[in-house]
Amino acid sequence: MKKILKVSFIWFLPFFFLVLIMFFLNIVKKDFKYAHTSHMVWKPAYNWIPYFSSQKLKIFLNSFGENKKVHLPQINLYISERVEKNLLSNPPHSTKKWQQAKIIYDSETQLKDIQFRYRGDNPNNWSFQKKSIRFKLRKNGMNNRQRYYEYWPFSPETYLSTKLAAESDLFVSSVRLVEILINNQVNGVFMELEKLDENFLRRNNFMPVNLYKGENYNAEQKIGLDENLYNNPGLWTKTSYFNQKKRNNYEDLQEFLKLLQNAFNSNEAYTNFLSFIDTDYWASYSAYLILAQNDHHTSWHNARLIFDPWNGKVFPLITDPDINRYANKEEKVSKLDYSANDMIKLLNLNSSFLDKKYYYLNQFLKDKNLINKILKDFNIEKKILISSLKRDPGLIDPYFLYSITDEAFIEYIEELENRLLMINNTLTKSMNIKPNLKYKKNDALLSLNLQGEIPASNLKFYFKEEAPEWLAFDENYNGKIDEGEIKYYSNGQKAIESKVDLYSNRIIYSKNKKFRSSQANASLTKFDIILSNSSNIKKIEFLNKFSNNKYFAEKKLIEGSQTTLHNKIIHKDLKKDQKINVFSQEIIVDGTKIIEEATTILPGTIFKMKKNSSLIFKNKVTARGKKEKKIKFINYNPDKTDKWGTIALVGPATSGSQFSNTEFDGGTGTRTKQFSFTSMLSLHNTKNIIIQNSSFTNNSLYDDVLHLVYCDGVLLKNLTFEKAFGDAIDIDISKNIKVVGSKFNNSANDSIDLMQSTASVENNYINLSGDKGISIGEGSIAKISNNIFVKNDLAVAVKDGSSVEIYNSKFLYNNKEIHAYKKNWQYGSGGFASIENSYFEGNSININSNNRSIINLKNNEFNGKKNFKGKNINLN
Amino acid sequence: MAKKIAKYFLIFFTLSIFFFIIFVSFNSEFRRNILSYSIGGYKFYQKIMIKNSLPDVKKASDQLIKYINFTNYLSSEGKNNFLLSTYQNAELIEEKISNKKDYLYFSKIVKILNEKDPNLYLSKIWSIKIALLNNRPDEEVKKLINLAIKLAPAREEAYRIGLNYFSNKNDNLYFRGLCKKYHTLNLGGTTSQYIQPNFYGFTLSKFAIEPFFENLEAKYYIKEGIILDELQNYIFTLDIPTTIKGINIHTSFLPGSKIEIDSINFTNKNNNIITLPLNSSYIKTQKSYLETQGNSVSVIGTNNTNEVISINFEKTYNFISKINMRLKFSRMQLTNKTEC
Repeated sequence: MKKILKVSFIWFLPFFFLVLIMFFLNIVKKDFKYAHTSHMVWKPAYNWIPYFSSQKLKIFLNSFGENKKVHLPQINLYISERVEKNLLSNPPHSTKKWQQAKIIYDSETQLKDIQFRYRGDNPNNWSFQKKSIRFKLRKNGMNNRQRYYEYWPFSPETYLSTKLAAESDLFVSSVRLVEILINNQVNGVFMELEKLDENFLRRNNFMPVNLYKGENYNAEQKIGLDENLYNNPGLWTKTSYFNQKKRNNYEDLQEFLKLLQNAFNSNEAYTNFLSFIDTDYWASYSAYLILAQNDHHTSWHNARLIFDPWNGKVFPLITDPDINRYANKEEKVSKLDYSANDMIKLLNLNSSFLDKKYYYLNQFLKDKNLINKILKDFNIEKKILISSLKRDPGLIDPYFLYSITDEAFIEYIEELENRLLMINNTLTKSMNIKPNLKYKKNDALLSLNLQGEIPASNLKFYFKEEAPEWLAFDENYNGKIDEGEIKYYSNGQKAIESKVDLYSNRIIYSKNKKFRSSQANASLTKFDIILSNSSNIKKIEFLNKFSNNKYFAEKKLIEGSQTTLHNKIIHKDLKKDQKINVFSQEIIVDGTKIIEEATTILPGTIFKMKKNSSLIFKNKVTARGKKEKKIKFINYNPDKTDKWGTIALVGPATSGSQFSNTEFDGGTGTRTKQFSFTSMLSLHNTKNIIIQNSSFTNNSLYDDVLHLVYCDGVLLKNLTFEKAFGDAIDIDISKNIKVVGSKFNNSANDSIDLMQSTASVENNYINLSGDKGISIGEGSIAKISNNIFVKNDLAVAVKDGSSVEIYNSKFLYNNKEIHAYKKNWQYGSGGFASIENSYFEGNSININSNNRSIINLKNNEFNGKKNFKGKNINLN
Repeated sequence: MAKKIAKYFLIFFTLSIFFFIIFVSFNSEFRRNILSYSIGGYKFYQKIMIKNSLPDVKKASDQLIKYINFTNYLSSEGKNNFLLSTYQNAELIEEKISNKKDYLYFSKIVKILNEKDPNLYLSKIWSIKIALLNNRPDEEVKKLINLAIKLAPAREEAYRIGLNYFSNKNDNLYFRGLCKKYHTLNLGGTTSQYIQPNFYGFTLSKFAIEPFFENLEAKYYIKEGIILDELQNYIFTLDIPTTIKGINIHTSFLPGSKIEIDSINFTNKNNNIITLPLNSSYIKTQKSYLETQGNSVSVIGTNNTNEVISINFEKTYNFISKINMRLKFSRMQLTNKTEC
């Protein structure tokens, strides 16, 4: 017996030895791939054996559990072993190669083909049980115009921070919690997110424009180059392209970064820089970063910028948001002006920007109570989340990555919730503190000294004797009142009130030689006030405008530094002289002129536009010509050989503009460093505009005669378009557009082209269009009534997820009458058309429907041979 | 007896290997260190081998190619953990090339590097040189130069090659265009594995000042927005009015940078403006060189390095709240042509 055992042992031992060696070599190999293969990635030591053990045990236990019960929405992926092996055969490169797989998505029952891969350069994304996934549906099988999906292992910080960003009305991927099953085995809780690409931009009502990705971290780090994204345009790549320029054209980014750097030191550059910024949006974004303690948008990482030449603005796009784990105590919550990158640092230097930022932060904390709101919403879904977490086999600590139990993970979530509440309280306290304002007085000079982040507002000066006639802030510290320095009058009262906001300087400095981590620090700042006489101050009352608490300034002999370049006193009651430009008679326009003031153009005014000249209005324009005294925009040269550029209305301040009885002749379009105009008359990012009784002739070079983009509420009435070079009217991402009583004759391309817009088109005459009379495309909705279409190549086209209702219209001798089809895969389906009570006449009446489109015809009259092609054409 | 010893030795050896592997598998720190030092050692060994092969460029290149192939197998193709060492080794080889034949042989390495990572700046420079050696058309050469400039607009290597080549070609338009870019584009510098720049890299867009006095806590005031070739006021507001006896200017500039200090004015808390007499101040640097012209002083830097320019005043200035430095930053010429 002993001998048998001994022999068995001797024979068994080598195999046992071999299996163990292979297992342990596997650990070494795993660790090598995790920490030593990727470029520029450092990973701390990781203990794989406990991780594997706990994970395998969980999977084993799950097989006995209630796996069939659905808690969170489920995504069922079916991936072959070969595919999984391929993806991890040579990481990180093999992880980026698309592989075939199948999916049952959410509550659908149909099995769909997909292409599938892992995402992310960080080995954390594909080294553990739960891998970060990206898949793409087929072009003809998209869900709600979304083709790409990303699934990140559930991180409570990322999830809640994304929710906070969404509640702050910022551009961020939508997120929802799902449970992923792979080959019918529970793989854990994930966050479903969108891929940030052109399709994302379109879904968020952006035109296809440049979306820059700034990553100089981990595997995307460039060797030997300055690491700061905001100091080197060469570090950025594009994930979406402006379709009117070459893909490798980075001029907009180069110019912007140059402007950004110059803006630190120059008022002029800063003003120019601000024209690229939607201040409200960026203030709201900065407020969110503080609220969420999201410092994950650094100077080398997680930067996404949208450059939109249609409204001339640059927007940040939030990716991989976070809630700082180390902000777990009051003293560790970052300051209100914390700047994770150069862009935020620059903005934080400006008092007007700070004012807006604090306004939004206060709103988020007090009025909207965002943190409590998202926690409340989160609480509602927590129950089913916990049920799914209990069977999640791949739970790891989101920061330190060690394997943890579901109980520990739930505790972690609770800690995060408490952390958010603590952050909320700390920030609220910070906003409500007493501003640190002191004063001192010498003769007729009064000095206020302010320190800290919170401004002092609405100062009221009380005097021992009679109040002086006036006081004024000596903003240039030269001891006298200069033009532009505002006086505040006592008006016979005992006190002088000044509705101002005073902010202390934000000065960029570092206390050590790691300059990259320098911050904009709130510093002791002095404000000199000159009094009309040397009255003695009794007391100075001021307000914290966020808490609405009033205080009195302390008298103290301290003195701060004068204000910095970008720190200006905010005078709230200041009524800017509403200067109105008035144009009349003959105006010669040479070059591109940008007009910031409101403008009135008198009847009979003639603008003679020199070659490539343009007028860009950024404020309201009232151009009401008369029938006998029209306002004209024409070529400077009578022979009309030198084409001019564009007349443009850009920005919300142009809202309410009107052009009536005007003529536009000989224009083209233009491009500046900031804007792109593809038409003779351009309406960008504006609302409530009326253009009526006007004519458009002889445009060339650029596509459109009249281009609307990002508009709301535009009436185009009684217009005449003659021989448009391309499209007569191009309407992009706009709503509530009305085209009424107009004539379109001989457009080379389309008479009216809609992209992702809503419009009504009534009582128009559309004749001899080279392509379409009306093109309703890319998710547009149109109502067309009482129009006449004559001899167009195609009268009405409806495509790409669009719909049109046509009533009481006449279709006469067009080559094709109605065509519904799918062209642009990004919109999922074809077109839907409903035509009622209309009249068709022609040698052949061609109506086509294909590629998942529908045409319904009801109570129409056909005078000619009917030639209906395709599926889904329903007669009556 | 010998058999017994051999037997026990074999058992002992086998068990040692066995326990070592188990230990490595369980002890993550030890495993990490073993792997890191092994890989580091292997990289260092390769560097020595390649250095020793030089000046035989062919031998060194072959050695490097073997290294690349092995590390691709060991790690992964494309950008991997060994890319940085491969790049540095390629730099070692390139420095020693002295003839066209060797350079064309070296082009194999350049091709591999470009495939691994199209964002390697020096690899782009080498590609330009190879294109010139292969007499590629001017348009192709310009395209390569523009790609290198796009990646790092402030680095000088692409400009040097472009200026030298196109001056011979009498393409004055392109020559002047390159000159203008060289003298105006200051974003996109370089960085070093061995010297930690004060900023994110060696760059011509930022600098800092440190006012000093006895017992004054060091504070470094950062200034961004340098405009090249223009005398500008760079105004620093201090966080509180301070007594100072000198200023250190901290830079991490690119080689061939020049700073002309035209004047320095102070504003004190009483809003008085005081001009610092530069002539009576003592100015020194750590690694750069100075030139005086009249009342102004120029500092010329020759290396990628962190530099401290110290200006020691003759006397102390009290309650200074602003420092206005009137400076001109520029780049030294690359050629003897006036615009360049």
